[in-house]
Amino acid sequence: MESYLSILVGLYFAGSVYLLLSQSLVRILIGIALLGNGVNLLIFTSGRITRGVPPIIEKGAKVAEASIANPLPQALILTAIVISFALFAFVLVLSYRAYQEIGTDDTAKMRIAEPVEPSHLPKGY
Amino acid sequence: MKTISTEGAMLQTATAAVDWYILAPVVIPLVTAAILIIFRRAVGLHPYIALLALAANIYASFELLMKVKLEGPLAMTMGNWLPPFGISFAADLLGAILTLTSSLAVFCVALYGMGDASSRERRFGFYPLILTLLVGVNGSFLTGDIFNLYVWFEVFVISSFGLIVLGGTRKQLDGAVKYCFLSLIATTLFLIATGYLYGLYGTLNMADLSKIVAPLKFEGPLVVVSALYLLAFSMKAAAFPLYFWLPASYHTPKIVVSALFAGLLTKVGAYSLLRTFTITLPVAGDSWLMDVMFYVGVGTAICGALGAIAQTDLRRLFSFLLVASIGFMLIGISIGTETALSATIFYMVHSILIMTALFLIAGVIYEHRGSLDLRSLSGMNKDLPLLSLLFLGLGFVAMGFPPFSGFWPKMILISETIKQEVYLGTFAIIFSSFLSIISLGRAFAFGFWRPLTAGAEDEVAIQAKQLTVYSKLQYVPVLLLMILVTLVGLLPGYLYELSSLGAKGLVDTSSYIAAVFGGAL
Repeated sequence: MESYLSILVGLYFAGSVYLLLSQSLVRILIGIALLGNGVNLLIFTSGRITRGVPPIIEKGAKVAEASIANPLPQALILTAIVISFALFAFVLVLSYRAYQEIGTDDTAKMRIAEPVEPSHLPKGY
Repeated sequence: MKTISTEGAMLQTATAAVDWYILAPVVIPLVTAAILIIFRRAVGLHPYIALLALAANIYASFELLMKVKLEGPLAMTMGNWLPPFGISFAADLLGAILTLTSSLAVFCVALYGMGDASSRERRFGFYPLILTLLVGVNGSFLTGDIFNLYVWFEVFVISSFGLIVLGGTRKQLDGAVKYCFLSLIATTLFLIATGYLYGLYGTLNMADLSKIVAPLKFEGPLVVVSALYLLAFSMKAAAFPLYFWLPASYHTPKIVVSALFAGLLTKVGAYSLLRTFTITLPVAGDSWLMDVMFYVGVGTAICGALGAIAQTDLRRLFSFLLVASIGFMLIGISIGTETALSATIFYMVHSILIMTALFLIAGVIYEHRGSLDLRSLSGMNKDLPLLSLLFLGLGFVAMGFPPFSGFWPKMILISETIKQEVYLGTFAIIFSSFLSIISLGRAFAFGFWRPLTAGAEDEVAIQAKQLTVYSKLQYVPVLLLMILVTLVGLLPGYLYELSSLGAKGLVDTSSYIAAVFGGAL
């Protein structure tokens, strides 16, 4: 099961890298979303997959009798999902605002902060 | 003594109150930020409350530093769980020194913000955001858990997102797009590496990882994880060839915001590299990966300084100097001897203070002239003598002239590169410093020495009429920082003692590990 998931994670990463290398902001956004989901799946897989044994300890017992699913990756993923969701929401709005102000979503044309024409200091005064 | 349950996994009694002390530099700004958000309409009060809290924070960080210096690394684990189960906080000297320095820098920035942040910007959360940014940065310096480090990264990243768009001009949005996307990708890479690390060793506690990784060979998946960390943190630290987002974005936000970013953010990346390749993954710190980091550092130092020469915008010039300074730190970390590491820690402190000061003085110049373009700035030594003197002084500090704070770490680092026979490092540091002398010297010659250009008189007169009481007050934080770097330069012994003790703790990790595992017993 882990190996299939690993391949899936690889596909996610490949797709997201392809999209991130694009010039269009929207594609980059989708790439970031894919990357975030790929990472979550990666953490889930690296915690090892166990089927049908929820991490619940019997009443009275202090440790689990049988082997149980690892609950830690789920806590990690939950944290990562919340964080990446918040950041993604922010960059989504930011991209829209940038599109409104600058009038393009082509990153190669977004040259207001770094003007294309070279600027030189005078040779002397 | 506290008793321990049979599993050896939990404390049965409450954590001792004194252990909570480590959290003070994180909790104070966090609580204050929350209070400021509650009183978001009372924007007049914001700077005073924030400054009070930041002063308290400086005091708390100073006390923590003194405590750590006396007693060695301190650690606590939250929720009564013993390490490695709970999230550990561990303050060693490296973390404590940087916590104090960043608290000082943020105090100066908040002071500057009194005159610079309009009430509209305050309502949009200028002060809460700089406080939460400090929370994230201090949290990163003090945490002992690598996933928790990721969380603190995100705390200051989201605060910096809020700050970089404050004002919302076209130029800002353009810079913000680059900054935000690259930050997001860098932190995601950090998360990927952390996911792999967890899959490999089943723990995320730095001290625990240190114990597990130390006897291993540097091969297989460990190489992948280490390389990913190098990539992710280099991106955050703005190292060659991943620094292009920094000069593309740092000159766009409000000047006070860029001073805050320049002082703190890249240094957290450098700090994480230092932490990861000494304590967390000790074998990676002795491997060929350090050669890679060395060349990255050389490239960063030289490219940064070369970039600075080509700039006409003062803030972009400073941004490139910031990149160059990261190169020196990377060279220091990659050499990895105790002397090199202590020079690196010393240099980090210097860099936090001087970069904040340089961007703040750019703000003072903007206040008086309404421009930061060296092609139009001129004649400032005539009507603004104090400003000229300060700029010259800060320039000397940044170039690394004695008797200021930049001189000592550079000198120690250069002598260490010669001792370790890595002459490329020697060359890079000297050449980069030489280029920075040229670029800052030119900035001074054009902006200050050059007689007022024809036609500029009227503009200067108009700008002079708009000055407020606050324009005079804005000298205060710059002066404070100038005094600090001069004191550090004149009395380098104190800081050098601290940083060499800190470096010793990084080379010999036993006291750190003992503090994390023994501290809770």
